[in-house]
Amino acid sequence: MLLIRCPYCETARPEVEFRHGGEALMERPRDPSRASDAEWIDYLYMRRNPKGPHAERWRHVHGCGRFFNCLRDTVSDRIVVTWRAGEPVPEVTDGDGA
Amino acid sequence: MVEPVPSTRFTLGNNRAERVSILGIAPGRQFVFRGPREVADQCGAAFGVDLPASPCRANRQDGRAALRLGPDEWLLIALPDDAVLASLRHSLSRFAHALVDVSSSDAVFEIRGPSTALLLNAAIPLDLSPKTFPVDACTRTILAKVGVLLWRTEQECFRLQVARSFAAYVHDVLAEAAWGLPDA
Ligand SMILES: [Zn+2]
Repeated sequence: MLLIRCPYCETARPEVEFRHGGEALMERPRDPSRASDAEWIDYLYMRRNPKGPHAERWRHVHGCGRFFNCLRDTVSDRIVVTWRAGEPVPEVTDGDGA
Repeated sequence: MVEPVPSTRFTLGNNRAERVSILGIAPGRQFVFRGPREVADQCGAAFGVDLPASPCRANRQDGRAALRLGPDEWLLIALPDDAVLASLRHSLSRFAHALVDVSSSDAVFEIRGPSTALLLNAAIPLDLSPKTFPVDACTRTILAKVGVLLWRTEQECFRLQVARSFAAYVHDVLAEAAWGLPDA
């Protein structure tokens, strides 16, 4: 079982307490009424689905209930680092995360 | 108000050479407080127990307890005859917050004995060693298939809360796991 560090509970917790919440860092059009259809489609539906490091939203649904951000390697399933929603992406140094 | 969970239904008593007991206890008065830190301080002053600043920790005083469940969420626990809610509402009336009476929501077990952490780990994949989960550590987590609230009240005693409709399930999972405890 993966151990995931919740940035709000500040401890590593078992994977079953969490839910995946899709790709992170998706920026909503700043002026929605002026956004073109193509920009909306981009924002709503288009995702990167990379092989390798992937910024994701996760939710500590069976803990504090909070959404947070997570950098996970989609090849190895290794959680590189987690950080609080709305905070800048942390510098990744080896050995971070869970 | 809903009838309380009858304690006897969920009392396993002492089993396997008194290594662990599972006892249904009265939930008492329980309130969820949500609000920013400044209002939490006001709430703590009115409640007589500081609302903890550290995540997943509980403070206790004079039969009352405050458990921090999330960044802006605390569970307040008082004795069954404690009429604290009215004075809390009065003290907090000028501040934006949420204060909800959840006294009838959960069934509460007190699980006690030297093998308690071992027993809980049959169904809870959480590190319950005294170093990472010391006395007054508390958190919501998963027990088998249901969400529970776990609070270590003493070195060898945990308070476990679960939605009332899951009480029998949780009791039976733990009771069955107790048969698998190793011989002392
Ligand atoms: Zn958390």
